[in-house]
Amino acid sequence: MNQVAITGVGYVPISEHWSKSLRMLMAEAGFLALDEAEIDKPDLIIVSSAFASRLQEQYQLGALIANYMGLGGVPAMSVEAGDASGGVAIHLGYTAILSGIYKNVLIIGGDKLSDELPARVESVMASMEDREYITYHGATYAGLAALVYKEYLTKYGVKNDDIALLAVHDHSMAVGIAHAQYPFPIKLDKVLSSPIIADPIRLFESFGFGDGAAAIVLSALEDIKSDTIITIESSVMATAEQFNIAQRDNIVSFSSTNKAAKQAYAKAKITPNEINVAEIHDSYTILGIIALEDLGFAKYGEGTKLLKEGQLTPGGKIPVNTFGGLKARGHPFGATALYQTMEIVKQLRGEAPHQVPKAEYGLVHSMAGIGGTAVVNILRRMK
Amino acid sequence: MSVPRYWAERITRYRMIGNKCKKCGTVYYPPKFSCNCGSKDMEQYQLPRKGILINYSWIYTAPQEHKKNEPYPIGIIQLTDGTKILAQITDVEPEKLKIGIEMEAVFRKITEDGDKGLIQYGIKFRPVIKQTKNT
Repeated sequence: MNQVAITGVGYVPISEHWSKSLRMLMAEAGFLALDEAEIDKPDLIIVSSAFASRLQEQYQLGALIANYMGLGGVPAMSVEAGDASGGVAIHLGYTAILSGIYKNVLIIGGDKLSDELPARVESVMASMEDREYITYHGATYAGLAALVYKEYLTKYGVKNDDIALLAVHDHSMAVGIAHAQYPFPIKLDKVLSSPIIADPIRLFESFGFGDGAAAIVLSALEDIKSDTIITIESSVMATAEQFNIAQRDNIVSFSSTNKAAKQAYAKAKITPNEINVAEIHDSYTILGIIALEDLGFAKYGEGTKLLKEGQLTPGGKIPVNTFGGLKARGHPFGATALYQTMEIVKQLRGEAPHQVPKAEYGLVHSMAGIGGTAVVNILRRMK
Repeated sequence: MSVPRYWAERITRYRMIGNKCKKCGTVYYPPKFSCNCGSKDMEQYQLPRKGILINYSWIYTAPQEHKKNEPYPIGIIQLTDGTKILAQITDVEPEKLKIGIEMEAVFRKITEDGDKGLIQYGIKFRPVIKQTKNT
C-alpha cells in the first residue's frame, strides 16, 4: 500500500488581517507550502473553512481559491466540519492519496473571523451545534463548554485554577512563536480575574477571534526527494455517539475523540506512551484537559495532574501545544488543524523554538464544537 | 429565520414531542429518524413537562439574536421520565438557581428577527412555583 508524506507546510501569522481578504491569506499559505514541497501544480486542492459560507458568503471556495492561485482546472473542493474542518480536510487528502488516484494534494485551511462583528461571529459559531434545538435556545459554544466544565468540577472535585492553568501553559509556549496571535506569557491570577463569558469560563480561558490560513502538501511516499521524511502513519475520523450534548450519558468525555484516538493508535501500531509531542484541541481550557484524557495521556479525572506536574512542556512526559495551542497561537477555525499539523511537522524536523528532543511520533487532535466530530492524525519522522 | 423552516419544527418545538424506539425504548428529543440501536421503528412520544435542573450556565457573551437578554441562564433539565433536554431558564432570581431544583416547561418568546421579522417561540423552563396555603 502507498504511504502518505507531508512534503511542505506554509502559513501566515494569526492576527486581525484588516488589509487582506480570506482568499489572499489562503493563497499566500498555499504557495508557501507548494514552494517547500517543490511542486508547481498539485493534482487535487482541498480547502477547509468553517465559516466562509456565512462570514464571507462564499460557496465553491475550492474552485475560487484554485482560480485565484492561477490553478484553474485542478480538481478542488471545500470541506466544512466546524472547528474540525482542517482535520477532516487532511483526512480526505490522506485517503485521496491512499486511493492511488492523486499523488500530490494541497490542503489549505482558512478562516477570517474579523470580517464580522463579534456578536455575529458568536451566532455563526453557535451554528456548529443543532441550530433548531440547541443554538435556538441561546446556547453558545462557550455556554456548552461551560456545562462540560461545571460537570467536570463536580464529578472529579477539581478546582477552576487547575483547569485554567492550561491557558498559562499555552501562553508560555507561544513566547517566541512568530505566527502566534498572543505570543506573551500570562499569569494565573490574570486568567482568573478576566471577565466571565459563560459561567465558569473566563475570557482568558478561551481562544480569541482572529484570522489565519495554513497549508500542507501531502504526497505519495514514492515521489519524495527530501532528506527528512514525515509520514502520516494513521488518520482517523469519528463523529459523536450522541450529537446532542443534553442526551449524552457522560459529557466530560467525547466519544468522537476517544474512538478516533483508539483506532489511530491501533493503525499506527503504537500506544499513547510512544507519542513524543501532541497538538490538542483546547478552544476552551476544559476541552484541552478532557482531550488529554480521551487521547489516553491521562486517566479520566487526572488530566490536570499532568499540567500541574509540568509534564506538558518539552522534557515532560507528553509535551502538548508547544506553539501556544488554540488559546495563544490562535484558533482560526478551518485553519487550526493545518497550523497544528505544521507545528508537529516542525517538531519532527527539529525546527521548533520549544523543541522536544528526538521527537519521532507526533499527534494532531482536531475537534468540532462539543465533540460532534473529531480527527486524530499520527505523524512520524521516518529519517 | 424563514417561515417554512420555522413551520417544519413547530410541533416538536411547541409541544415537546420527541420520539421513542419501539425496539429498545430509547427516547429522543429532538426526534431522530432512526435509533442508535439500528431500529427505524420509531413512534411519537410526548415528553413530560416537569423535571430537575442538573446543570446550568450563565451566558454573558450572547449571539446577536439573544444579545438584548444577556446575561441569561441555559441549563440541562432531566425530565420526570429521565429524558434530558437543553433549554433557556426563565423567571428565576440568580441566587435561587441551583442544581437539583424542580423545573417546569413554559411557552415563551425565544427571540425575534428585528421589527418586521418572525417572532420565534418555544419552551423555556422555570422553577416550579410551590402553592402556599392561604392563611
